[in-house]
Amino acid sequence: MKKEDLKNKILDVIREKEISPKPKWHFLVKDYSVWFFGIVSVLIGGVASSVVIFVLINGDWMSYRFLSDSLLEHTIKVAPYYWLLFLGIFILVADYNFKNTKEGYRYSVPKIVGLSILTSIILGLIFYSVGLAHITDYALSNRLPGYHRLNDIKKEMWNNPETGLLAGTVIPSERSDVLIVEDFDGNRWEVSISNLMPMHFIILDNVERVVFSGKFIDEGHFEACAVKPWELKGESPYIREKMFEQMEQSGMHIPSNYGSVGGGMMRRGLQDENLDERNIFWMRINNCGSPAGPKITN
Amino acid sequence: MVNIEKTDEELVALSLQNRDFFAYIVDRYEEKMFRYVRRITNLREEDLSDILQDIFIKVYQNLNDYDRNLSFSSWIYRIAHNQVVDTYRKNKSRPQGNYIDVDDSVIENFANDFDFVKAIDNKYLKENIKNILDHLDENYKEILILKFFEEKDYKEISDILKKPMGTVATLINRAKKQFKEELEKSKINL
Repeated sequence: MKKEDLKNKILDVIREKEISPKPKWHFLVKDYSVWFFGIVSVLIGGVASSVVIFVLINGDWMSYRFLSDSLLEHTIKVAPYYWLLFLGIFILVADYNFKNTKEGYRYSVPKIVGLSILTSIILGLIFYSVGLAHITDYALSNRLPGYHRLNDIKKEMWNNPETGLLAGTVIPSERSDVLIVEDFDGNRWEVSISNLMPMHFIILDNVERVVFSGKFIDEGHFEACAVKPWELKGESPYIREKMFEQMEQSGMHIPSNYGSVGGGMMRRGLQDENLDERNIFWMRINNCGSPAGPKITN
Repeated sequence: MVNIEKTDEELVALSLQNRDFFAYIVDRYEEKMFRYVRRITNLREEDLSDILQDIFIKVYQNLNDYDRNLSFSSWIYRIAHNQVVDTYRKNKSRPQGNYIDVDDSVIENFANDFDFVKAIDNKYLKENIKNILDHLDENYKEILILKFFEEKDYKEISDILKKPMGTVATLINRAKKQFKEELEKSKINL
């Protein structure tokens, strides 16, 4: 075909079919959509990352011997599989969107994926520090059937009196020989504290939600060997207030030194005493006899 | 004399105002596109007109999407590449044949870049290069065509194929390796 022929043919087709350039807004909408979905993916990835951080920080790694037979078993028990999967998916979606921006192809895949992961981690740390991870975990447990929030998983792990672990809230009582503790299932226990060391009382003076390790005597009776505060790091102050409101409305007792405030006070108290809270819990009292349950090995 | 005086970018702006100016763009790129598409497709001359027509119509429809960060040449080559890929995706296969024009400058380009080519008789290479290219994987063949026939640099190839420059370099290296293997298969004594 001659050069002139092709040119004329193309121009004829344009004229006959009344073809015109697509308007600029058409391309702008496309470009902005790609950026919009890319940014949304990064933000969702950040939220997923914050929950992963939240779960990992609250994974009770220092106490895994109390809760599982091995570190591997404990990791399998607490690993946030769904969130890791979710994070992976949104990193890939963000990567796909970024590659489809006008200049995205200029960057190599490892660079884009690396940048997505880094952004997710940084956003995750920010979201975690403002309590968004806790809010997400809490909100999903209320709305998503089958979703177990971290706090419930921790309660299941730590509140197991038969194996020597009792977790709950200390209830004020007139008795001095025992503590009255309401566990997370709502059962009341008389906890013998005669074997506790003086430093354990620093914890009991400052925190009302605690975990005891010790011996199961019988239903309703427990002998404490050690105590550590029940603490969820990265809690949202908003949810805490909301829960307190609900507790108040239900006529329940509100812990006075709950969560990070109590934990902070307690930590400062322990620092003054030059003690570490975890070391306290790891200590064994000879008076308590054999280690406080089948899973405590040292 | 609009065609000579105006830059590609100016012609794009003028075509958006008046479609008659698009004729100058067709004029300027028709031959280049014809050669490029024929080289990467092996289509006969008479079959090329449809695909060229589709390319230029797509260029016209997408004039508002022309990214001034790219050279217009890279942009139109990208559209041509995508159109060829789309066409073959629809047809499911590429025709085999020898419609690659090899002139002395192409051989010189190969010789400057391939050490092992220097040792080969130019006449022999000129006669066989088409067959060798036709035996390469499609993506390797195209990247060698862009580099040695179309004389595009890494940045331009990156913009045309929408791949990072590092990937372009890797592809060119692999393509060269495959080219050398095909040469060896042809029982050429290196």
